[in-house]
Amino acid sequence: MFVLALMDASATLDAPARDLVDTLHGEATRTGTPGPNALARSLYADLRRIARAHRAGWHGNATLNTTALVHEAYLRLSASGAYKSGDHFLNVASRAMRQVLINYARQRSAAKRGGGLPDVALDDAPALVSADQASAWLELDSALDRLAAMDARGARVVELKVFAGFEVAEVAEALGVSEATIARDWRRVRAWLRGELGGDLPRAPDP
Amino acid sequence: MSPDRWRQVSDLFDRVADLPSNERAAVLDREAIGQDGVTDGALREEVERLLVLDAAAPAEPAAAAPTPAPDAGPWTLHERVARGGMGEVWRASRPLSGDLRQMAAVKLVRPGLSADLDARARAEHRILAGLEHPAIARLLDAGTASDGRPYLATEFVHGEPITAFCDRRRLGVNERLALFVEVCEAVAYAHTRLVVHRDLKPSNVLVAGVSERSEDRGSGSEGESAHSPLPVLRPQVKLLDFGIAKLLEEDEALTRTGRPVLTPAYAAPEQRTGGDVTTATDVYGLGVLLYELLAGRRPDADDATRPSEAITTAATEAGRVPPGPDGPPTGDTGTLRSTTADRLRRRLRGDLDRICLKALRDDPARRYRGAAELGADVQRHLDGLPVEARPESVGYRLGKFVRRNRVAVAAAAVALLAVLGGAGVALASAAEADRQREAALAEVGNFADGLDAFAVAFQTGDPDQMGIDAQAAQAMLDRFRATADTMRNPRAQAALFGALSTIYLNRGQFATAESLATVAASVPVPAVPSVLGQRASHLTTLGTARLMLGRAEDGVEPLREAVALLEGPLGQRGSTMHAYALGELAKLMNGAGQTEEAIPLMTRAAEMARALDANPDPDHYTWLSSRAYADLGMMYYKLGRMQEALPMVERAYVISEEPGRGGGGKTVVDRQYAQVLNAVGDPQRAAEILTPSIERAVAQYGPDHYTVLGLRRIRAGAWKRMGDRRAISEMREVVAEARRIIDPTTGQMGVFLVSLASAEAMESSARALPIYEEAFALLGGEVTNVSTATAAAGLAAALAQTGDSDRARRLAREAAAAFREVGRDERADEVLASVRAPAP
Repeated sequence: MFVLALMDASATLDAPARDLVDTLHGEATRTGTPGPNALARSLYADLRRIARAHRAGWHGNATLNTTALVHEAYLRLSASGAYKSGDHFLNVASRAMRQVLINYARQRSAAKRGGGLPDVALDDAPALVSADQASAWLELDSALDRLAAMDARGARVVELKVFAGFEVAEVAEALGVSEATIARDWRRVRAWLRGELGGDLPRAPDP
Repeated sequence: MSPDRWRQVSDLFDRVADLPSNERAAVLDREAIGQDGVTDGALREEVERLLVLDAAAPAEPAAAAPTPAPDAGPWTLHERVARGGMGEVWRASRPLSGDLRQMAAVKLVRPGLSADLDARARAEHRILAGLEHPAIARLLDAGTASDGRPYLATEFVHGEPITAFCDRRRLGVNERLALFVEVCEAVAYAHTRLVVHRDLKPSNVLVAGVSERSEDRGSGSEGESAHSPLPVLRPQVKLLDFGIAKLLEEDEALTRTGRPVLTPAYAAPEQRTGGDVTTATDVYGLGVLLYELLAGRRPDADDATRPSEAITTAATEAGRVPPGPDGPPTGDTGTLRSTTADRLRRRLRGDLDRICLKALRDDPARRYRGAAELGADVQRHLDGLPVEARPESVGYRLGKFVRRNRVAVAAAAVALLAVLGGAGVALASAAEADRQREAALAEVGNFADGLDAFAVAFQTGDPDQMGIDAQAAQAMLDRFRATADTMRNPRAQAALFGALSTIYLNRGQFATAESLATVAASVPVPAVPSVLGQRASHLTTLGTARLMLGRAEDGVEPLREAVALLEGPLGQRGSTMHAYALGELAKLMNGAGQTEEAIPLMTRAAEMARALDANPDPDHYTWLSSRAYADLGMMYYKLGRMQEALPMVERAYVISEEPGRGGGGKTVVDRQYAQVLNAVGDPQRAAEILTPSIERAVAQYGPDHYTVLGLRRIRAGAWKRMGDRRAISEMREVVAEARRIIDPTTGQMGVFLVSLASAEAMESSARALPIYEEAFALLGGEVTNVSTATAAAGLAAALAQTGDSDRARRLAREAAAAFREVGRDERADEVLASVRAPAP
């Protein structure tokens, strides 16, 4: 049921991000039938891993581990020419990560309210997002939408920093601007978000 | 906020945010001006709000300053790939010929270690360079870098730590074990070259993907071009840093920096305490590695928790697996092994727990002797064979059998139905049919061998140690039998029936065993040794089943044939099978009334079995010699030759007290020794022996087991002879229990009742009389042997006391005659005296 919900929600993504989630989802379920939480975790971790490995490629150490580590799904997608460039992929991946996490939080929060949806934490995997954090993630999500309306790059910085777990330098490379610019963006945007959320940003789960 | 407004806020914020707070106000005063040139209070307010929020935010960690690369001999260092306790690792290369460059991993040893490290490294180099193994990264070069740090250059490995490799691919337990066996083989190879690794841990055990093209992946349609051929990576284990820890440790001793070089979590106890480092040290390191691969965490240093108990449902802790550029893998321990925590726990329980704990023993001498042994044991586990890490026990072998043959059972059923049953299978030719039939028969032979192992398990086992509950075992057995029933090929069916009959026999289901063995033995077989061996086994089972069913005379012939097969075409004279069959033949002859003739055979069987104790063959039963002597003693006992019986049962008892010789039959030996002691007038000693024996039997079988009741019966008899009135209450209790667990209409019940009656007779013949009547009736109502004579004698004495002297005298005369027939004249006289009847 969660899987369906995840797929429905991913309809709001652009086509490449949906492809990515779909493909990874296929990978995740091929090895078994993970519960919704395990599935979300594994999707999230895969995306993050792919993004990292991809990023490592830019540093000129593509020889190191990268080939072995990059997910088959990504190899397939990249071979299909779905991405114009590496940063295009990262943009897609970080959006997909946000989507996975937020959909998960939405399920979690609905389950907590007894909204008739399955409790997405009801499988063996530790919760991707704790029940307490679910509402914080949903607030962040809507605050990010508001931010994007006034500062598109700032919102991207948050996505890459918070959902994809990138460092400032990595965000700078992904977005093709200087580190100093990203550091300033981040500092400012983070302050604004703290105001919107009434406190710290939720910490990205460390899968 | 509009984008324009936000841009204004951003610009101003950026301008003041980096200023010290006491300088911000002036800038804000000056700059918070709207487009119309008028002071914009709202803009200033918004920026100040953000500054407050920014000040309250947690600090961002500062980025690490990059380290410039030094030069290291011929090596050009490209990038740092790792930093650890002993220094840094760089990806490096040096020119070969033309444009070719050799890649290497250059380890820069951290400052503080002594300067002559490189000199000693060069000395070691010759030894280490001799390690040529596909799974060992070679040491290429050693020297001193331009910044004065010693360096070691090794083959560059594109890989990731074995634990991360396995987790990332969600490898199951078997795949992990297969990789681990390769690690053991590499370490074992180095051990043969007298090199100990000393620092085995996941970051030194990498797995690299070796490219292999897959066959069909690219064969899809155009539309699937996204799924076009991908390199399929065959995992290749690579061990890093062989022998390097030794260099560094020596260096440690020389420089005494006091900083540990080794990773404490992976160091063996002897490394932590400064003891001798040997190949067993690597066994420990491998044990930690295996533990971590299986349980997802390292063992606690001071607490030998089994891996199966160490599994948690929590996510792999961050930092457990060294985070690579790709981040640590995610999921709980079970998920990472493509299973659930519960299943994983069950999978690890037993062998794998034991293998790990044996490798991790504190005392190096009690671990596996080397990596080869550890690897071989893991391989045995993978092959479904018994592992060394565990002492032989019945339940263990049984569990093994069940697991190993679950597939075989299904396979045998399918193969047999399809090929032998000929159900709708059109075979190309008669020759092909024959070939397939032979193949299927071979399979059945293997299956039957497996069942024999199962039979041995039941035979020597006590239920508690079986590790499988009795009902499940019975259900499985009955399923096997149902499979065998459907088979149409008589020879295959005979093989299965024969194997099953042994199991039913050992479960005490004698009638089923007898009918299965009868079918098995009735099928003519070709004179092929393996088939004849099976036949000998079926005949032995058949004879024993008939002995247990009280049809000893029908069992003599099958056993004679079995013994003849073993002595003749099978050439197994002096083997365990021979000793066993000979003993069974003797017991059958004894049961058929040919005790005198049985004694020489039993003597031979006992001596043969005792010789096998010193010089065992593969089938060796540790308990056979003591059982054979006890049986021999009981034959003398039956003949009333107590002075010959006593040394035999005594010998049996002494042997059974030897370590490892007790086995499941120990209680029988105890009982028979006590019985003879009772008969020779030493009931005190009999009771002494039986009390610990009963305790053992209760612990082993539970209080309401037939064996326990039998022992208590004999002890009550000893008490009765000693005039101890405890005999009465004891026998009442024993009989009450016996009526619950054994068929109350059998001769066995009669034996219990005779004992109860004779105890009751200590106080009251009137109470004893009806019990004797019941017992005598159960035993057949006429005097045929010593047992029935004993019952008849008791009944006679009770009748004499209570009035029916005619019947008393008649029974006493019959009993006395029976006793005289076996030479027990004294007993005969006693019986006659008890009814004051004149001697016949």
